[in-house]
Amino acid sequence: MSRDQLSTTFSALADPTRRAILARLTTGEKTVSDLAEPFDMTMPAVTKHLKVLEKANLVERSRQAQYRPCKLHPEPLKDIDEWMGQYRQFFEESFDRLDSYLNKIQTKKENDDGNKK
Amino acid sequence: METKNKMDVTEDGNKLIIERIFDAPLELMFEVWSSCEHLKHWWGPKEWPMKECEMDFREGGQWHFCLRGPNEGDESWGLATYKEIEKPRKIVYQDNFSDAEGNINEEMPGMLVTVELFEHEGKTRYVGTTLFDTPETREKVVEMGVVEGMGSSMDRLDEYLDQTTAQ
Repeated sequence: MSRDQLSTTFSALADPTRRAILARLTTGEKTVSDLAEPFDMTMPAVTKHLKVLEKANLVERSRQAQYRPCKLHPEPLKDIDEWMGQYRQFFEESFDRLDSYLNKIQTKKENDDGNKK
Repeated sequence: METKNKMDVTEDGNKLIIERIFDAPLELMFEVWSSCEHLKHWWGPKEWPMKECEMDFREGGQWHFCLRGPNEGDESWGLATYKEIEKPRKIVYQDNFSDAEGNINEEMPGMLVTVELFEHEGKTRYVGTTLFDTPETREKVVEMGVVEGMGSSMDRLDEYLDQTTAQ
């Protein structure tokens, strides 16, 4: 997964309305008017948010039915989980290297000190 | 044969705490965090070592670095700003993804990292706390299931909806 995709996901999730739209989609497919209803928003306003979510690949819209129902596509959320795993892995691997490095410089120091005596 | 030190990880909301013991005195542990000269030997995974590093190690100073991956063009720039330095026990820095020019990538979560060092039976105990600070996004993403995976993510998304609509 690329940094750009992650940025797009984070950016799409940054808006509370968009998060609420995703939340509503967890219960199943919805049409745009279904989604607009609880938000006290116009259909074009909801459509605008949906476009951002579609672009971020968080929502899929059916091409078949006339009302083009919206469906949650949770994969990018998984990428964020993965990113967190990578963050942890980053430290795990760095610290293993730090162990060897500390070992190396301390051994060197002992030898240097020994040579001085 | 030395045994490998274990890394403990705790997740708490938008906070990630990493603890580990290092076989080195406190002063040396502080030192290896304080200069490019040291960090270039260990910062980053083996496959993604730090290839560029510029550091002004003082409160308000910055650390700009680049990690290079195994494939052509794989690189990741970071820009950290030191918030607090308390030699030899504590370093607090704001860490962000950036580009080669040091422009922060605002869309990626920023991280407030606190490094604390404690003497521990002749060794050093490291406690690193990362606070993911894209305020809402980060928290919500964590709530959506960084810890438990996708099933509960959806439950949490539901809970979040309830909170949002209740407001």
